[in-house]
Amino acid sequence: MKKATVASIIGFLIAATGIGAYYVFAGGASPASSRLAEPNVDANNPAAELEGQNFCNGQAWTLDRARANVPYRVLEAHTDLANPSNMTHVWRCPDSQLAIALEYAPGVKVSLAPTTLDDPAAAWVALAAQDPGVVTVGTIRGVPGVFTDPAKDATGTAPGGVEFVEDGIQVAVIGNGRIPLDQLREVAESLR
Amino acid sequence: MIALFLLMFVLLPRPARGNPGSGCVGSNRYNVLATQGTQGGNHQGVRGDVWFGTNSSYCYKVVSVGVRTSTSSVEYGWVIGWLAGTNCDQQYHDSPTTFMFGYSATGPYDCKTFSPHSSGTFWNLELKDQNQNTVWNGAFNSVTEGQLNEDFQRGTLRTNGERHNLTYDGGFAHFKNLAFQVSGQPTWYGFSALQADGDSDPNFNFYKCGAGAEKVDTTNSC
Repeated sequence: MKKATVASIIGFLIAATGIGAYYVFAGGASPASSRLAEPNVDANNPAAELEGQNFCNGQAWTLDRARANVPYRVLEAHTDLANPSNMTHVWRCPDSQLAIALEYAPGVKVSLAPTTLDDPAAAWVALAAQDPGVVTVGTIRGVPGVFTDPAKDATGTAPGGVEFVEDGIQVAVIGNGRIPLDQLREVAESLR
Repeated sequence: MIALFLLMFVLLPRPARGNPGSGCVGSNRYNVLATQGTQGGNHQGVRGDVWFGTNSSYCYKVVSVGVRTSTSSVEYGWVIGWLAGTNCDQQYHDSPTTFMFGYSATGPYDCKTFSPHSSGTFWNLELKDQNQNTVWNGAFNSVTEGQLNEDFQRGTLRTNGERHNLTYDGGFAHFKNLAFQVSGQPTWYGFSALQADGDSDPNFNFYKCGAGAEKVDTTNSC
């Protein structure tokens, strides 16, 4: 082997070693796996949950199935915004006992579940105290309720809506961050 | 050759060391979750000894315990790197720093940052609403760090190994002595049915290391 060739090989090895040493010295990380993951909604938040394909990561049910399988009256919305003609999904929701949710095309969800709250009124006061100006307490359908106005949430993370407990069932009428609170309140008043 | 080596230092972009900059926080989140397979929906507390990660180059890594319902959630854990969630502090944390995050059915996200803690060891994290008043209490080694008010008193618990950047963040997590409370009882019950509950991480998986112990790792290292 000619001296020039040997020198070239040695030079190449030194350069390659230098690049590797440089990378390690500078704290480089290993390349990531090439397997792709689906982008997550709200992925910037720390959350001990997988982002689901649907509201509440639920199992698709029919309204009849819901009526037959939950031990409470399934309350449906009856306003121009949300009504039986634009109901798109009925979900059986995990993580709560006997929870279901009705989803309407404009972005309204009605969540129903046996309540875990011993004192709903106190819970609403505590929630309002935590997010003053955005969350307030009041009365809905003759019982204490909590109201979240998405228009007043500067962070844009509140879907907005109304929550209350009626006959032992915790009811949440949930918006999409754009539907005005007044309209969500009308939906809550219309439930039957 | 020396000149070439020096030129590389000048011209080549340097890989990040330590804080890689907030631009590393992308639009993905990768979780490896587990739960206690009994009493789902009826958990009012969860606790365990949790490994706090070593200081290194991280973008946004979280290890936590949580309780959630179908519409609401509360979580207590540690973060290293950027705590970039909406309504969180948006700060870079060089060492594992405890935090709480939660939301109710209709309300905004609430996020609180607590204290940095030494890494390379286990610390006990406890999240509970033992008073059944919707005030969820986060305690580090039995000392309360903070609280969040939610719209539920019990739900289904989770352990969570989470990362946001596959290049910078390792996905490792380790939980031991996991226990839970159920509605209306102050008793802590050791996990009897620890089980995986979802995995969106392309590389890290749940491994059960005993009744109340688990690792999130690339291989079974129990």
